[in-house]
Amino acid sequence: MSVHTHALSSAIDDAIAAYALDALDAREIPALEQHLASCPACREQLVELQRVVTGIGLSLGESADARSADASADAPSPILRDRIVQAARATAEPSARALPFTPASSAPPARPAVATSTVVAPATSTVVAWLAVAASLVLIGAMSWFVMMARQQTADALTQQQAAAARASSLEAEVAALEARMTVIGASDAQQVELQGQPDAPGSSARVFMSASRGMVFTAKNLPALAAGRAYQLWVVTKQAPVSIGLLTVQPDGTVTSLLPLSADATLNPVAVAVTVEPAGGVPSPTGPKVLVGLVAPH
Amino acid sequence: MQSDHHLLDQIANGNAEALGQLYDAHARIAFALAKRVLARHEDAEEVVQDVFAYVWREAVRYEASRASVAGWLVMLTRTRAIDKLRSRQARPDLNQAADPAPVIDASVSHLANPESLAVSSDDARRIGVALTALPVEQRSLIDLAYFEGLSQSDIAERTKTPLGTVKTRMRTALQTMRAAMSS
Repeated sequence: MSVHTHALSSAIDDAIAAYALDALDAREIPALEQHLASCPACREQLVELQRVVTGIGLSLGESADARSADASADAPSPILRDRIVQAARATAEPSARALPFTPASSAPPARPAVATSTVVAPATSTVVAWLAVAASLVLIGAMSWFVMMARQQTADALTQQQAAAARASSLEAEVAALEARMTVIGASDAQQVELQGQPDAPGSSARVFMSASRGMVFTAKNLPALAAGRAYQLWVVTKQAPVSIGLLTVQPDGTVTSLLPLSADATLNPVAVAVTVEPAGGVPSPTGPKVLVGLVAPH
Repeated sequence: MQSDHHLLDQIANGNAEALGQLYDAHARIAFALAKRVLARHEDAEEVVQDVFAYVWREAVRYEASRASVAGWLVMLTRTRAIDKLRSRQARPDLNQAADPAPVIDASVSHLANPESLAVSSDDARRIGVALTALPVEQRSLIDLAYFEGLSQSDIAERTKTPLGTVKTRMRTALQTMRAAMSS
């Protein structure tokens, strides 16, 4: 920290600590982010304090009572796991879904429940007795098969029902998301910005609707796939500084449709909207190449 | 017992059972954190479900960064739990307010660096001990920021403490825990 004078240093240290805890007041964030962008020592200090913050959360799993037997009373209900796994199955990529779709894939195949009763009493040596045994074995075999099929069908029906429920709830979520996007686009203060693809992504384009009161709708197409460890990050460049809006979730076909909240900083004197390529997880200030840029028309 | 990264790799390839195994390994801590923030059992479960749904969608991307999975889950859980807390608190106002504040907290600061999520369980335990040992006025301030998502100004107002004092205490508290971690 030798680069800062003492008084400045302690103010910056305060801000870094608060930033690590997400507790820095919004109005102080741009100045700190600007400083962080040019000060490796402070960035390092931030990472250290963020590790402490991560540790606060992780410590909940390390305390003695969290591991004790009575903690089980305060655990998520057992069906939550099934709900999560079933919902994941229902939304798996088609190629991936083809493999684990039979519910029995992880459980051993249903055993014929009645098979245990096939212990045969010491047979007499008469042919009739053997025939009777053979017939009963055939019967038991058939019954077991029926039981197995019935179980399989019940399990299939359940899986299908759960998949349908998951599809319905994902459709509901889509409608809700669409409605939320329409709220932004229809806002009285909504501004439209067209973004052009830059030399790194010449075929890409994007459109933004931003409203100070409702947030931002961002749509893009033809975004190139990124190398591992990279992500697209969206920025509103204001007269003060670039403000991160968040990371973009790109669909396999290169499109993006997102509704994002706008902080007060992002709505103050915006001059441009841009997308850059950054390390996965994002960065506080843009470092990578710009792939999409659009100028905000002055009011 | 498969490593988190191995599981994440399988999740990225569409293996839902691997998601179940990741859940077995980390759901308890995620639930404990969400419950601490939200108090209501069903709200905490909703957050945990939301977090694992997000992991299912984003595993491909995250797996590439090779950062700590436990740290990532904790960060996701905290962000979502606090979003939910805020939206719950905002709900009574929704009837009259025309423009509800966005409830999604981008929380980009914590995503900035994968190293910020890498904390060993030993260090986490030390941090937990150091947190408990903090003077009560420092500890309550960390609680308000971490578990309630309050900003420094909110905390100053809530605790009727000068903003400057809040800032100094917050820094001192984090630095004390930081010192415990490296010892």
